[in-house]
Amino acid sequence: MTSGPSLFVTVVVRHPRLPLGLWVPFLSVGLYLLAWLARAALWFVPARKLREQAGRDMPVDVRQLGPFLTRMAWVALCSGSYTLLEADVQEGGERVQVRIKVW
Amino acid sequence: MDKEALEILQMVREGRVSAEQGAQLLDALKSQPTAMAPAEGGKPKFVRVRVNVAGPDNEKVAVSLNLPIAMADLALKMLEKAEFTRDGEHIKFGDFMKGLGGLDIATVMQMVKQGAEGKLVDVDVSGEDGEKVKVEVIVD
Repeated sequence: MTSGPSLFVTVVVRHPRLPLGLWVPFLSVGLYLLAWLARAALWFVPARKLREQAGRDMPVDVRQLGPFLTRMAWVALCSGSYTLLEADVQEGGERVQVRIKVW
Repeated sequence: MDKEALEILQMVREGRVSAEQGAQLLDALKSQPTAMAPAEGGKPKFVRVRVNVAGPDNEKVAVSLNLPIAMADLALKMLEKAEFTRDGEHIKFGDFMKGLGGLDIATVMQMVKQGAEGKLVDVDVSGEDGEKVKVEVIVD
């Protein structure tokens, strides 16, 4: 791991139907802005509607998720280069692998 | 007496953890001297959560989540303050976890930040349908 802000986040998917696999790069700045967009969206959704949802269906006030998203994104993208997630799923002879790497 | 034990006693004295929680931490410290040894060559950098599920029909799921220490710390801090509603009652997630596990997660996180490393959690669960789940939390 190297320290400092990252530039890219890549998602690699390997699936039997994708012989060459799938490699999708994202700009770190773009993901951080996306997190802020989600935070803003949660903030501007009518408060009454959120309270109703929290009271009836959702055990958690979704407004709490906004700051969580942006702060987590900031720390995740400022921790250097590392593999954030590796998942390997095998079922019925099919194997799917997903890797999310921060560069 | 080593540094970690003194810190635990200090936390009990300051009321940050209960005497019972302190005893549990001391037990964990005694029973896993190598697992909780201070990191050599600097403080640990990652909390790695590994989950392996093996189903009865040869299905396998392996997930490895590598969280930088700062990220794990932030997630726990925010989770501790987060509130949820159960049976009309507002409950802080941190209080809920203390009641459930009897152990303050923040205290463990503090020990990790101070240099403890190794395998902190290693749980094997077998279901009635033959499903096996293994969860490991490793700090390195």
